[in-house]
Amino acid sequence: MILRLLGTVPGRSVLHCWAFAAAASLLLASAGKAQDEAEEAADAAEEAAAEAAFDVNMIQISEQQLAGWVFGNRMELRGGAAQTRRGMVAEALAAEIDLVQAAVPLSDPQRRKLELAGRGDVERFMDRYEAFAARCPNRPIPQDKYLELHQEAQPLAARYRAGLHGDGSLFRKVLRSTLDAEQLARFDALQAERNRKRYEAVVRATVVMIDQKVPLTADQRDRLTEVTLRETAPPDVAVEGSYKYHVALLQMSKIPQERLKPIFSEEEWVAMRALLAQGRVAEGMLRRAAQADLEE
Amino acid sequence: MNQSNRRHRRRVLPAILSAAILVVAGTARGDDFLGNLLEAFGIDRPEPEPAAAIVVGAMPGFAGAEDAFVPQLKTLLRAELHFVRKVCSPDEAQMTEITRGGMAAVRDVAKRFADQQARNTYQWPDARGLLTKAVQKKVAEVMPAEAAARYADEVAAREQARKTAAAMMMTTLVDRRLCLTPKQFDEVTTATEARWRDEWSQDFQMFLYEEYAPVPEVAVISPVLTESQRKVWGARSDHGRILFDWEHGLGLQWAGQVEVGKDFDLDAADVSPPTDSAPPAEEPTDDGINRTHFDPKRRPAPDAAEEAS
Repeated sequence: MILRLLGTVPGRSVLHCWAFAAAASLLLASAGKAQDEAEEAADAAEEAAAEAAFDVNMIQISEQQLAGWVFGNRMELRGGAAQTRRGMVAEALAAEIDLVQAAVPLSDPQRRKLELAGRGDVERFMDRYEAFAARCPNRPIPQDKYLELHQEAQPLAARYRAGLHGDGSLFRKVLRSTLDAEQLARFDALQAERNRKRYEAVVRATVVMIDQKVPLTADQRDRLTEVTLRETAPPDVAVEGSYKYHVALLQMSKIPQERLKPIFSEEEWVAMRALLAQGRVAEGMLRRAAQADLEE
Repeated sequence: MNQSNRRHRRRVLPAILSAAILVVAGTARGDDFLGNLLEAFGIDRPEPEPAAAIVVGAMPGFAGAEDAFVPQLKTLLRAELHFVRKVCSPDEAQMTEITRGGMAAVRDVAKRFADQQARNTYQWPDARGLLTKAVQKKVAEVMPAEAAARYADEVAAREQARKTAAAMMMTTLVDRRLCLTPKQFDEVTTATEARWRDEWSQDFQMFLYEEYAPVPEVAVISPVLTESQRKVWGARSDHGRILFDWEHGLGLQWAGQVEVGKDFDLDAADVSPPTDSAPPAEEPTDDGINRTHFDPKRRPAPDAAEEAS
């Protein structure tokens, strides 16, 4: 239409365009005025509500958020309904019993006892979680109450991360009383081997991190890995999160200097000593993790 | 605030619309509509100036952006030069040549970082891998074949060590959920290594954030799992990847400021001027990062940009 308005004579086409533009402007401007007035009234109401909310600084916690505090980012658990969540947590028990079975053939009664104990751990944990969730009000709460609830969720989260059937669980207690001495020895050996493999992974990854700062030859890398795995043991408590590699540095720092120093040149040893010193920050983490274990 | 903006827009819109109609009409006619208009009012139209040349990589506001990345990359290069000296024992002239090659690579990698930063994708190039590749190329040029082969073997061994360590870390994450037996632990590691992706060993600090760290797909490890383990692993959610700032992947911030190779004088070897004379844009390489310098019309693929954190 615009194009059709344009004639072949330049002066005429200019006039058509100006007229069209002016008409469009007038139409839009008048339609906007009425809308302005309605929106100004709505603005005032909205601002008043926002100010009231700001004064009391309230926070609303969703059930999904509570689940996030305890189960981390596992979406299948955060989003699941209570029964689904309970079922999913229980499924890990089958993998735990499979592990025992891999070390020692279990009789049917032994397996049943373990299943019962494992389900007890799941029930006990989920009951604790649901009782905690029930205490959380389903309405906006003040910020200090929010922080208090978040703190309250931490032991539950730590328990979940550590595994529901690990040390201190009903499952472990029943396992110890159900297996005979020989079976128990075999299971303990299997667990020790698993710990060693996990520790080896962390040591190798830590050597990679060292290698990024102090590039090592294949021979240096092998010697450092070998001496660390031979001379140190995994710590009694697991440290997760950002200090995992610091734990390996800490363990390396306990190796007598005369076994480590020959692996490096003078310049490298200066850098290596600085890295080993950094490992000491993990000491506090280990102490806190051990304390949390005791409290559980 | 939003409504007030909308109101403001409604007032300005008619004026913009009028102008737009005029411009569209003029453009659509295909002749010099604005020229005719100015002529009708007796105004001389100035001669159009020639368009400024677009220098790709030197966009206004981005010129020199790569300089911010250079100091950290120099630290990486010093460590790698220390490694070359240890493995190849070059003489002074050879070392100077290799250092020059390394510094040219630092400039190149810094540009790639600046490009990625301009795209705001948090998909950082593998700086360490690129620098090593450039240094290795220079070592092959200036060192005797035997020394160059020794260096190449060491680089390959280092890559293998990274791969094995990363695969084992991935297995520890599987183990936490599935209670693997020691035999399964080895089998999962082997299966993971067999379907390797280089990005998995680019940043080892990724494994400190377990829920976002890479883990093998169920199809990869399924043959070595029991039925109950398969069920648990299959129900696992994918949380996407956590995206870090550019320095994170370099690993230099971990465990404090510790460096080797401080004696290398990199400034003397820096033959490239710092910013304005950027080298010509290059073709995509096998690292998956397109090296063409910043071009606002080229946007990252939506899936890459939308990786959730």
